[in-house]
Amino acid sequence: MSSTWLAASRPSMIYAIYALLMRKTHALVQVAVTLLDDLDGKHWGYDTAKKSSVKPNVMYGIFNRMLAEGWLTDGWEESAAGKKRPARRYYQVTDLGAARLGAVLAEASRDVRFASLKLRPGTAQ
Amino acid sequence: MTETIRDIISVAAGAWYHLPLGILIVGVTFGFMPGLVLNLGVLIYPKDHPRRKELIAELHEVPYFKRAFWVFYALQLAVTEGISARIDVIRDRRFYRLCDRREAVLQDLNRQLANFTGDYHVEAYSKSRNRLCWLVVKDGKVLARFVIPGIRVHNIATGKPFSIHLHLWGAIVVLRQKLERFLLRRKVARVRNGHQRG
Repeated sequence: MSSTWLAASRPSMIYAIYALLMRKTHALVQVAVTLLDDLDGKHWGYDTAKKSSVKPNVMYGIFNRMLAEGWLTDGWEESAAGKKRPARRYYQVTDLGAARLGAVLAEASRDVRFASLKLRPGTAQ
Repeated sequence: MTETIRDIISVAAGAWYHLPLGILIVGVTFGFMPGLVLNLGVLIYPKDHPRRKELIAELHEVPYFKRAFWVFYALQLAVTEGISARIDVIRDRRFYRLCDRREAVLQDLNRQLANFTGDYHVEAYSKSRNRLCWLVVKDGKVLARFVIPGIRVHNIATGKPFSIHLHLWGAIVVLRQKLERFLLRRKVARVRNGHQRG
């Protein structure tokens, strides 16, 4: 997984330009770190908000933008039958998303605004 | 000293007396209310919006003592996201209704036109307060009724719009609406009053 992230952290020129278009905020960078922490796994709303320390209302807005851009795909949990609750919605990072989130992190690591954040996946606050 | 102990006992007894009420308040605040408020809050979203189910399902994963805060943020999200989604739905619905209405009018006009000639069809129309009641041919024969000014009638074979040498006064009026308005009114008035030629 680390090799994937390394590959993603060296974006092509197009990805780098594209990453500039999405406004980089602390919340976006923190969510990106959390998502890249588990590239192939399913990400759930509350868990992601908790891991990334981003407020849920902000995080869902970021998820919406990522879904619209094709960085994430979504789906519904299948095995919620015996759990006495409705099925949860999950989000998965696409290949495109992995590359662009890597570009976002690479950009953020060079930006002094994000110097206080731990930007390597696996170090989510 | 004895009085102090007695006071402590009486306070403890009073607290014990209020304990069920306290448990009830805590239960309602952290157990019952978040679910109720969230279920009401997600109604802001349109009916098929996935966030409705998603927020309710996520609430079950939140620990009890954090649920009140989660619901607060979820409501904030529902207000911002849900209202804009509602506006989108209303806008789309109005747009499709307008399309349907326009399509229905076009179909109606084409049906009327097809009764008299198969060579022409109404391609589009624009709204106008001036409503032309009669569409007449040059010899005075009434072709169709309730035609709206602003219609562009195209020849199906050539794809070109009507030109002045064709026989439909209505079409001429449509194409040259401003120039021919005065003439049209006179013609229409004559047709209405039964002063048809031919």
